[in-house]
Amino acid sequence: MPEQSNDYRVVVFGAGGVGKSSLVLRFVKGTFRESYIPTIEDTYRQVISCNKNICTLQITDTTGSHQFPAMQRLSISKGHAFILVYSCTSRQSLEELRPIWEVIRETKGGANELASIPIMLVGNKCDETENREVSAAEGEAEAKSWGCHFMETSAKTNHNVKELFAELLNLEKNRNISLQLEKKGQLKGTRKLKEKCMVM
Amino acid sequence: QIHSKQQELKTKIDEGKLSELELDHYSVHILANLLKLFLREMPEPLLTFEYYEDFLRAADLTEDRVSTLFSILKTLPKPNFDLMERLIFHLARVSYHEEANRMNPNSLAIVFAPCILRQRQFPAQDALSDISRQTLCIELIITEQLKKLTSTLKDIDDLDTAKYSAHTRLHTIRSSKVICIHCRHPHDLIE
Repeated sequence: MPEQSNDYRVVVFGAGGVGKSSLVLRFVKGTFRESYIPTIEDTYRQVISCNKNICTLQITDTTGSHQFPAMQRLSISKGHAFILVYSCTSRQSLEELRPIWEVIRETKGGANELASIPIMLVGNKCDETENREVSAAEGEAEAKSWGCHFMETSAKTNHNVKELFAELLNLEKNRNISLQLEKKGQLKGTRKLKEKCMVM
Repeated sequence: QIHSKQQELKTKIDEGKLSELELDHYSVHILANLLKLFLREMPEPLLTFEYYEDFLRAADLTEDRVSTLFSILKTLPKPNFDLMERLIFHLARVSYHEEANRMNPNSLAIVFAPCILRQRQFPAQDALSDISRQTLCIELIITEQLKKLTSTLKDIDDLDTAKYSAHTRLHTIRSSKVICIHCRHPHDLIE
């Protein structure tokens, strides 16, 4: 288990082009871009409330395009919670999540321990009804067989994005974490310490 | 499932059964993944350890950057050069269709640079500045190849257009000649 540090680390996994960065950027910055730039690895930080104290929510946006197993294992062992993203428009992208989920399961130990880790299976691009390849029911069934939670989102239309992160933090039973800062009561006080970790 | 399919394909290729394989039966993602895996798993990266520093230094140049990159490429061992040429030609063709696939030379470089250009140490320990220079190297090479490809395709297009218009004109001339021949007959009749 990762140590109970002041950071709460969420790692986002998924195949290339499913919208991992779009989801994170929508949540952190509230923006959406139509263009596509593959990610190597970016980390975003945001202040949240944890056990009535302030702590840092650290969101790691991983690469979908090429997997360096060592880097993947490192992110998994350091992560407290995981978002596994596929695109509703690509069955392939859902299938590609299975090996990642298996590595999480192996790294995080037995079934009991795994059950206590917040993991959310996310079908993104749910606005693209015409190109849909995976129904919500199928996604939900998959999540059930993995023993994790499920949600459909659209970073483009901002559907369920904030809900996704709120729900994920809600699943953490070891600490009392919330996006709401106790005093301010809204995200106004958020601050981004580090944005893109590279300049292209 | 996807992993096993990829593994199955990899095993068959390793066993030299390429001719028995129907590559069309595999999804494009699996094929592309396998190509990247092949490049990543080479004991020495495609652009070699020896020239790694040279490539990165070339990325820092303010002038003659592209020509320097290409002259380093030409000093690579022949098999490496041949495969690199093939790969870059392919990537240039992909980026030629950027409007449809959203993969411009920069995006392709982000994906492929770590597969073919890395130093001897553990890849995750690459300095951040190395990653952006690695990407820049590959981006510049793809962009140059794309320029060449675009101009070649334009030449082919120009030639095709020229051929078409020459053909059309020739056809017009020929058919008018036929009419002329026919014209003679009434004339003959008058006689």
